[in-house]
Amino acid sequence: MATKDTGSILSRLPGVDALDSETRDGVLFALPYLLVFGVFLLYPLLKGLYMSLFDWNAFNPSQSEFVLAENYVRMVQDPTFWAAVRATALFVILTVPTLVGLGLVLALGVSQDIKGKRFLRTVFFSPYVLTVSVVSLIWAEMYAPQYGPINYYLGLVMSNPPAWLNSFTFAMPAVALATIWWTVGFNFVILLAARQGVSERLYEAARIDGASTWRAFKDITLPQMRSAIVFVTTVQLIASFQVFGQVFIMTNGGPNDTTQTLVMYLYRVAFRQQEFGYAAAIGYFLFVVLVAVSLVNYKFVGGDD
Amino acid sequence: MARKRQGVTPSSRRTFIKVAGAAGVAGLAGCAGDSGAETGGSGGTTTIQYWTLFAGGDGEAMKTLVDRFNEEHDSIQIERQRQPFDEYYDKLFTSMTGGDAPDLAVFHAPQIQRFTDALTPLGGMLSDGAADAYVDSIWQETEFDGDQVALPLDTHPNGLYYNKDIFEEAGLDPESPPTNFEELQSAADTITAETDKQAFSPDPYLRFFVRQFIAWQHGSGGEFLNEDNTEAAFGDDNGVALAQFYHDIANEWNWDRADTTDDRGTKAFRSGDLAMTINGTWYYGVLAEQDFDWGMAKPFVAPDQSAPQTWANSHTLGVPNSGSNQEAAVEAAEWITQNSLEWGTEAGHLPAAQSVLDSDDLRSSNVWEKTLSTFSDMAQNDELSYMPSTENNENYTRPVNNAISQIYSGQLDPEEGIQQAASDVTDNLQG
Repeated sequence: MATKDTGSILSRLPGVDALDSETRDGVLFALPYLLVFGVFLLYPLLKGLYMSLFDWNAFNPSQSEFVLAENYVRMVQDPTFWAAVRATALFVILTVPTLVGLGLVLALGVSQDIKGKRFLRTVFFSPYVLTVSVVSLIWAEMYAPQYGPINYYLGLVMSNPPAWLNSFTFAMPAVALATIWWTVGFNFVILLAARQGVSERLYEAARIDGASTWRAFKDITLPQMRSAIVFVTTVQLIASFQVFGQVFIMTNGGPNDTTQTLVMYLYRVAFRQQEFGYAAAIGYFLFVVLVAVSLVNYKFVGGDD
Repeated sequence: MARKRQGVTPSSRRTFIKVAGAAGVAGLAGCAGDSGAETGGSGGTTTIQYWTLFAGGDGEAMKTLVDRFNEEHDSIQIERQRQPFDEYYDKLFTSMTGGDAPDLAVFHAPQIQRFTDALTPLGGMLSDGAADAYVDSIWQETEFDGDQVALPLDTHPNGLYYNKDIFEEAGLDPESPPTNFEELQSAADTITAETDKQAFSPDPYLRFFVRQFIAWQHGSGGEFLNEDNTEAAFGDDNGVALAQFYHDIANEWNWDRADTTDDRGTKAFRSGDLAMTINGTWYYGVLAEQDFDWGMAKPFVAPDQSAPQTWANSHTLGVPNSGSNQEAAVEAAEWITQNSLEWGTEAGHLPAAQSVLDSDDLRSSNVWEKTLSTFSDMAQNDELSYMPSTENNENYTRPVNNAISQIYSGQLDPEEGIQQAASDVTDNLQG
């Protein structure tokens, strides 16, 4: 009797045979990632939301004061925050279209039957393997006002070349250029793979129908590569909105906060000013912007894929 | 005929991943566990984690002190960890909120206030008469709300360093450095005219302008902040005149380039391309290695210095309250701060311990003759301006450094720039 009961309880436990084996295996397969997702993403996400409602006391969290939306109100009224929003938007505008466009041009170029294309592929991708600190230091030296290579050669043709990273006008474009050089290789590789996935038969058929190169590009290449382009654009938007390392090392937000981006401001508010509640609110603003931008991108550019 | 697969079968691979998933759960659970307090090493020796931000000559001198401490002590050993200067306080702050703080750490005096909640009040743990062991004025810099929260190691004021070789090249007397604005003007103009060197930079790092700005603002009879540190006071005529001075150095008189790239001035001074600059005590250790002759004087060279002042700061040692070796850390801190001879003779700082400051070893040393006697003189004449302690000093350092940097590089109008900075500082202090 007792033995039989135990058996029937066991059979009702999940993972024994109440669940079908496919679901059970699926859950177990996903478990490692779900755990990492939960611990390193979901929990901080919820904790951040919680913190953003408090005047957070980092040394004694239990003494934090609940302030409801005060951090968000302060954010809207904070001129430094809006300056950071503008700086971030400028960086996004300077980098994203160029990175996607240039990546596409390079990918299409190298997919042609040209000499040395293996070499070019390696060259285009190679900067991407460097770390942010290496890239930033290299470019800081490139831009150095007196001894940097750029100003050395400019100095031969003009009298007072600008101090790039110290100039209100040029600091952000200079950081953007370094970023483009550094990361375009990633987009290039994704787009090259997508281009190579487009069947040559489509082009043959188009040629037989007398389509021009432009027509083939517009009606075959672009539509066939659409999901790759949407993917690259979305990833690029997220990366550019979150820019931190390059500005932190190359300009430290200067001159006069003109290159202080949102994540940099968030870092300063949290770790220099010790206002974690306010920093969490800024983080949430960025999160909402990124979700919105990604959705729009998928909806309008991504079509119905 | 069924094909036999060699090696891993799909089913065994699935089993492996399932097991790995379960192991992951256990592993993550382990992360959450309390690692517990670390107490001592073997044989009754307590090991103290000690964080510093000292590099170069300072780093060497601190290593000497710690090595000497470790040789003389059996029951306490110090493990010194140097953190990068620029991120030091960010790292320290993170470690102190994360419950993984060092047992002992270096703090600049104006930084103490933001950490007081996480520092152990030292009162009960100090040896008898500890207060009398230190120079009184510096001792007071480490007291907050009646609690002694750190022990002072030194004072490190600013001085005017100058390259005697360039003075000679320009036909100036290398033993008569400028003592006021008029003399600076005459010397700097001569150097600009007679040599291809840059004459003068008020901050060799070109990013810590606020330090000497505060002292000069006080020196001309102005105030930097109001009395209770709630408002900026440097947007007045004195501050504007001072901003104009910074502007003119690089944009009017051509004493320096209008370029505020980090560290440009110190590179130029070290390579013998800059005649005069203003920097702290630590420059002694740096310049000792250069192959030109140099001197140091009081930096009272801004316009209208009727009550001259120089910037000063102190290194102090504090004990985070989350540590489990607090008694030992306090003992080590007392020893380091009171046996700090090399901190003077090697690193060039003015020791905070009275007995070290008065010692023959220090007073007969090369550094005393070269720089410390002048620094000591300014300290005794009450000519030191400490940075105001506020909840977060970045509230005033950042706007002022930013503004002067842009004024210096000719991108901001001096009057507009400094007044905007003053209004930003007031907003920050009240925000």
